[in-house]
Amino acid sequence: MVGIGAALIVFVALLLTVGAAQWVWAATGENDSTVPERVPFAGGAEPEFHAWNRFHIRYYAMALLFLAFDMEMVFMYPWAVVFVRQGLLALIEMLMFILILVVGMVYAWREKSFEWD
Amino acid sequence: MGLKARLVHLARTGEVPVFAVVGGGYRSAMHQLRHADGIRIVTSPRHASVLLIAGTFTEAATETVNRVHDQMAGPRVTVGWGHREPMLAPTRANPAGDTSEIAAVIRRQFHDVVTGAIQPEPPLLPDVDPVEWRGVGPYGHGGTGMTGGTPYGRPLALRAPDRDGLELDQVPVTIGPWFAGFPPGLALRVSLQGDVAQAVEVVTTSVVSSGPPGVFTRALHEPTPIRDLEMARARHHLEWMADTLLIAGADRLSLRADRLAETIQPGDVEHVTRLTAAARRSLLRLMTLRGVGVLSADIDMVGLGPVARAAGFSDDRRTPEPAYRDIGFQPVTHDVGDAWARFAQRAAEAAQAVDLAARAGSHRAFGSGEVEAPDGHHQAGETGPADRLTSMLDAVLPGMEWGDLVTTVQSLDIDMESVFFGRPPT
Repeated sequence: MVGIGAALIVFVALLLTVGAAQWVWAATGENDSTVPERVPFAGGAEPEFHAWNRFHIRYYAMALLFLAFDMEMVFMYPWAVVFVRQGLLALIEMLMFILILVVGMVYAWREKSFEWD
Repeated sequence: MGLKARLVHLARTGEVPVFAVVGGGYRSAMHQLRHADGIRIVTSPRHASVLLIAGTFTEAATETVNRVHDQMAGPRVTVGWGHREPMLAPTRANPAGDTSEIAAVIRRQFHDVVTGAIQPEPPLLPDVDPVEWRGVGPYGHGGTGMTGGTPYGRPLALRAPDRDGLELDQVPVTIGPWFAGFPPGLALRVSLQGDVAQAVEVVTTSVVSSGPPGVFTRALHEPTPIRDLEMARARHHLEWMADTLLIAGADRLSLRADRLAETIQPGDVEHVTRLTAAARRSLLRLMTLRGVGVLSADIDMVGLGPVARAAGFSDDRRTPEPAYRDIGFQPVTHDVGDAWARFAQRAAEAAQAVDLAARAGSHRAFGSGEVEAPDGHHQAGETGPADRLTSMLDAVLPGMEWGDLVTTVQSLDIDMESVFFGRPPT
């Protein structure tokens, strides 16, 4: 029964939010704009081409490296618990793990992935 | 009190957002309006309720100004400021007075239009789609295939190799003439690939006409007091610094530069150096100006004033003038020639100008058909530095990222009022 009650509360809250949004729209909204009014501002010029286009995300190599080291941090939390029990052995294992990642980073460095261009 | 009434009350008591279209003779006045009470100059008509049309224009400006007018969110009102024929849009008021008068007019018109005392302005351009596209194609998206349509009546981007050798989309976009990051009146057709400008073309339609002749124009034909020339130079450079600081996002420093430009007196070297030191301490230099917009060595910079001197050329028409020699004038130069060097150069020249003005006494200079204006060497009957700067843009800007492009254009200080490039003969 608790589950149904919670769902009801969420449903009513949603209804109220939608109702409030509708009321704000009706009270303030004007949607009778003309074509020139809808054109994006480009300093007074008219856009010739559609804005939809594909471009090169230049930070993607950096983003991938960030993800790799981010995941490494995730592994370090359970490792910290094991480290208390295992001591030196756990430390060596983690150093080996980091070393493998560092090799990857050195490779990326050599490939000039960190240069912003 | 209903919701709409509450919103009207909030709008009425806040600052008036003004989008300004600036023509001949009003660039300096616009700088003063920026710190008027109850006025906020915004950089997009989407944020504005008042369109301010200041100064003089050519007929060619009508279409772009009308488009900017329609892009303002309602309720909107148009105000002129010393706006003369050809009238670009119907204005509710058109005073020619000083900053406080126009600020009062703007506040009153805004108050009247938000409270409903006057009718908000209807759109100026006809409500027509550029191309008929709705309902065309199997999904009604404007054409055949996934990318075959012309949604909103506009074709999709072209393809071209980028600097990594990939075939990627390139969108030609015309920016200006009223884009806040460019000098008023300058429009560029930029082919953008992501945020890299692969090709740049100056749109050769002249939209601003020259305002009344300033002190440097008069100095072409009559010997002029050095004090007047140098104070005008200091003001010009300080206003330019205000623009640069504004584009770099240093709003408070920018307002400070504008206030200083308005109040500066001969001998106020200390004020200028303190402002420059504050700009130096901010991250401006490191973040946006250093290494940006370096002009290559094969560009002929003789006569380009601070742009040439920032690149190390000790080229200044004041040097051979006997009057300037008498008060011990030596041109300042910087090296490197990037946007930061041009900022430091103009800051140093502004400080030097107020110092020269204090020591000038009754000395007069120039008058024989040439003059060293703040933007470089002007000669009677010849085109000025602005023409040369404008025509070098298509060679200098390609390959730059958008932010660097705006910084570079701003750092060149192009005065579109004095550009004859593409202007019909008068």
